[in-house]
Amino acid sequence: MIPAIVLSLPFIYILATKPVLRRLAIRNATRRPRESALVIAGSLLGTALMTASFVVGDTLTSSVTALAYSRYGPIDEVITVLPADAALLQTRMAGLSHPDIDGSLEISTLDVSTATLSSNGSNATAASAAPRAQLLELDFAKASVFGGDAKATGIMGAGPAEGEAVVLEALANRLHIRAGDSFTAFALGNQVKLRVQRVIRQTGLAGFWRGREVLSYNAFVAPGTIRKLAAGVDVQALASGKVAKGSLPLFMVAISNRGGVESGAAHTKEVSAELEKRLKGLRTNISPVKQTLLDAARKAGESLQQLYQTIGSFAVFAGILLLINIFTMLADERKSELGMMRAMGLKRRSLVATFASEGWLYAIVASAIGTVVGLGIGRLVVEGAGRIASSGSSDLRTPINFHFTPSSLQNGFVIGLFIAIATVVGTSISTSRFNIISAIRDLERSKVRGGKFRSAIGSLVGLSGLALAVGGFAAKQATTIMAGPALLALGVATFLNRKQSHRLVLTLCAGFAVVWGAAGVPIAIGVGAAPSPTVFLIQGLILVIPSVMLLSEYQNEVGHGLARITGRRLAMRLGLAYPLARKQRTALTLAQFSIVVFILTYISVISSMFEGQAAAFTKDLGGGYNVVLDSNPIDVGELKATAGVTAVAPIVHTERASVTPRSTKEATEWPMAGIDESFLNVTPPRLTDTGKYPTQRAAYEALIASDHFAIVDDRFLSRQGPPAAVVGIGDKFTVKDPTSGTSRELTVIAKSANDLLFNGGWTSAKAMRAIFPTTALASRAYISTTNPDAFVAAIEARDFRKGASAVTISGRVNEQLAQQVRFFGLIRSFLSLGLVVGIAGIGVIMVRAVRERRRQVGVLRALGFQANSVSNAFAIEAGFVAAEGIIIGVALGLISCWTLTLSESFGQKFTFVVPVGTVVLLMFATMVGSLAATIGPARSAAKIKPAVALRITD
Amino acid sequence: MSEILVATGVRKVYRTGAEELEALRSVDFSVTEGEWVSIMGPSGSGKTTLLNCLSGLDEIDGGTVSIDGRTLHSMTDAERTSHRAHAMGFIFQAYNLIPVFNAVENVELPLLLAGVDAKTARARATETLDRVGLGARLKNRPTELSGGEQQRVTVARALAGRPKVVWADEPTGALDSETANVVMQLLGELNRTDGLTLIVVTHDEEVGRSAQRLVSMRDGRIVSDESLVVGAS
Repeated sequence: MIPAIVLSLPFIYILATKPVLRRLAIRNATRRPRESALVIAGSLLGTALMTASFVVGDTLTSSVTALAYSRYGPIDEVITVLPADAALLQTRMAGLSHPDIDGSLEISTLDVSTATLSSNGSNATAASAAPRAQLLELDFAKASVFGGDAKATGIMGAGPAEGEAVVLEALANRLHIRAGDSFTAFALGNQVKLRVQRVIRQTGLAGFWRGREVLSYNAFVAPGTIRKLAAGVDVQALASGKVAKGSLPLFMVAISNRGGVESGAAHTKEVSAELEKRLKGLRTNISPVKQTLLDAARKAGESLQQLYQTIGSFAVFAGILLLINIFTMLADERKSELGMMRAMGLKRRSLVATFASEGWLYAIVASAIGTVVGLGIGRLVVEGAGRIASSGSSDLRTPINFHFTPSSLQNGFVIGLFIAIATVVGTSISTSRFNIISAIRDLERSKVRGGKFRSAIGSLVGLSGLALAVGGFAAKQATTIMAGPALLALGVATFLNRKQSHRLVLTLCAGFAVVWGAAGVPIAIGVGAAPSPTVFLIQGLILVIPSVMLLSEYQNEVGHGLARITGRRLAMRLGLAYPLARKQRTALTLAQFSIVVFILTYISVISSMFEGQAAAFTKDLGGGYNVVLDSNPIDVGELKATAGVTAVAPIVHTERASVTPRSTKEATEWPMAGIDESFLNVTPPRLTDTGKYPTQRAAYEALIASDHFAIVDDRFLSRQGPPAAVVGIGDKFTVKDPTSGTSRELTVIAKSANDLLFNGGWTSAKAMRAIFPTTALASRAYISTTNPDAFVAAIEARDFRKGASAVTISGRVNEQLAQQVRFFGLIRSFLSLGLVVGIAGIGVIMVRAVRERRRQVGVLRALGFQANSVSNAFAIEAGFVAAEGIIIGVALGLISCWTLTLSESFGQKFTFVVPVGTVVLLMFATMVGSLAATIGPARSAAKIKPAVALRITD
Repeated sequence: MSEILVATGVRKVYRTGAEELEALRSVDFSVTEGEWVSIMGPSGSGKTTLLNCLSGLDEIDGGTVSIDGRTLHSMTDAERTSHRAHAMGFIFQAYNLIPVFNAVENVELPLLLAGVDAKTARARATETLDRVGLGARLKNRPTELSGGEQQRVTVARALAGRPKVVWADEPTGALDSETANVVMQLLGELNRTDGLTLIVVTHDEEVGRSAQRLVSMRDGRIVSDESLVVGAS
């Protein structure tokens, strides 16, 4: 709250110490309560959207953080070794004592597939199956007190006896089993039948899970069960290159740091250092699981918050323009009285102070209400996000729980207050610069041509723009690539305005800026710069502002053309007269509309382009393959022999590699996939950039032949928002095995299409075996089959013992695109709030216009202008401005999207598709909304009694 | 000459909360076609209210007003508005020009409202402005004209539609004496040459005495009605 108080201090001081200014500010603010309410409504948008963004971020952070409770509980770090090294680890860990550690617990795990069988024997089929499950062995007595908080562990009561299992809800639900029922676990070619002792909830240690799924398919079994399943596995032989029959058992020691579930993670650095010292020389890896999860939660929350803030900025910008418009109108309305006060000796700065103090009164109320409204908007967005999340795979669905922190509300309040105050103060300074006589006599302001100072500013802005553009291209920075040339055009325009024809300069410079706005993003992507959401905000501003300036310059021609077409009807003439005469106001309203319509059109078209790309994406991602199969393990021979299969490419795949780019040195857990020559037996997935290799095949061959190369997509290591390439061609990153700690640096040689199949980075199978010496396993396969859907059903039924899980590539692409389209829909809903404000804004402006023109309406009525013609004129005025705003916004949105199809944007080559229905609906809804917002003011204008209006002297 | 305006027992009451102010107390008044009548009286005597009520700009609380044989307050608002467009012209103290229209556009406004086609309206507006000496300022907006010029545009606007009655409320109130003389001479000339019926509300004794008939008001009543035409009884 301190920033809000600091921001408010000057105004509090003025109101407290200057009685005349206080009286003016307060009386003007309370003079017309209904109109003050409208000003407040216009001002609260910034606060509402900022607060909503913070709340959305809070919710995601909180939702991901909740996983710390449901899958780790007291576990802060996990040390992993293969069973062969278990004894060594136990020896090293003996007598562990550290002030930041309050416990350790031994856990053995094995990845298994589970099923309930319809009959006994080798011909049994699965009644229900959970292909990805985990067996765990631990000491229940020790586990229940691990970390000192029994509730946080989720482990209570007696452990399972031999042949028994304590299973988690998710596994029990998937297999449709309950206490007393039996199921079978399969791994490494063996199987074990288990009876359910009891079903427990997914909490803390009980939910311990190493996969990317949110639900844990755990079964706690009696000591010795895992050894029985792994019987016959020679770990040493595997290390020398022999292929395992499946995932190997792992031995782990979980560490609990001092403190609670979240606070314990604060000691991770010290604890990790102590463990590394203690385990030096051992083939192991210390994974700070809790800290990693909490970091990911924070990043996910911040990322989503930033995304919504950037998107919301379009609407906030519209809100700022609305505020400027309202205050300019207020100043115009009070021009005579302000002129009189200046004539009587009121200083200009006092005038600014009184106007700004009045604005502060509005802003403080608007920010308070906006915070509450923002909370509501955030709630709606979270609701929408929750629905989108629930449409995907339930395994990967993070439960979304609405949450906000007091600091988020404070931040939203302060940012909104700052935006409102900055706008009000800026407008007050601008409107206070009037000629006293002109103001008193209500004459128009004379236009000021720029002086030498303005030329100097122009030169400075132009040179800064040039520097930014050059620097942006050199550093491949999309924001500066976009902003630089636009600033250059602004600088040139400001500089030349004094020397050349205003119209010529404006036409050339604004025209250049519009062209750059449309072409800049594909050009930036073309030179290898990654577009962030901020780039699209800059693009929107670069497109809309100069377009509106251009239209304003040629507004008379537009108006006269329109008047000619409509036969110079009087209501039309009057409706057009005001927007044409008050160009500055019209431009502000136009920009307010255009920016929101632009981004709504843009998102609608992009969404439609994504939707229409299913076939192209499927072809890009699959090449000649049409099914992806996960199985523990892949048996190539058996698959090739399956009916309809024409090609099988085994992939050494892991979901848990620790990947660290050389540039950021920040480790991220990410999947990696290794391929061999068989991958090229049919057309491989498309590469969007083959780097120095002449063909896609050549790039793949180089990858397979080496054990130091990688191919990645634009989303590699980047989870939220638009693709932001973390590594490019030629960049290096290190891949580390979280079990053994073995690592290798790989160089990116090419770029692939978007990884909608979660393969991760591509490398060679031999590189994978080098990095993951004992756990590398062909657990995924790309398959070409004559009947993909039939194959998926057949293979899952046949290979349930291996946990076979298959998807058609087209099915996965459709699922991903549908989710993406729903996400765009959510963003569109968020943005449409800006449209609501834009529409409400036009209503506010028309209300003020009616008040401002009461006397003129009275004259018109006296002269014989019918009441309905008066309301028609107001409706035409609002409709004209809205129509221009809609046309600019839609046109710019379409052009920008079209330019994106000229190059490979977002890692894909798009086809330009216009969602005609959506765009027409957007245009229609905006126009109808604008006209509806004008009904009230237009009606009240029609009701003005001429005799009453003509008596008005203010 | 026939009577173009006949008002009988006109009452107007202003209500502010529980308070009532009787601005016109049973006023009887008539005007002959082509007559120039001045209405004078102190502030608050009801001059402007009388003008508003007789021209149909305002409602009345009693009595009847007929113009050119038509009872004004029995018409609907639309009929009355249309009647004003066809039969009346107005001149106000504060000019009341439409700021976003230039001089010729302001003047052609009543013509367009009366249904005259755009081309004819423009020609007649130009001609009328020329007649009031503003032929060179057709494209200037009100803010680009002096007070006298603006009032002359208002006069042109009132006359362009060739109305039967022109109502003027303090037409010289905002003008210096020299400009005021020019405007009044212009109105007088139009009254004489075109037979225009002119009803002028004024504070200015000189303006009031330029008319053919002077009506004085006090406290919402007509207290005197004298003919200023030499030789008239």
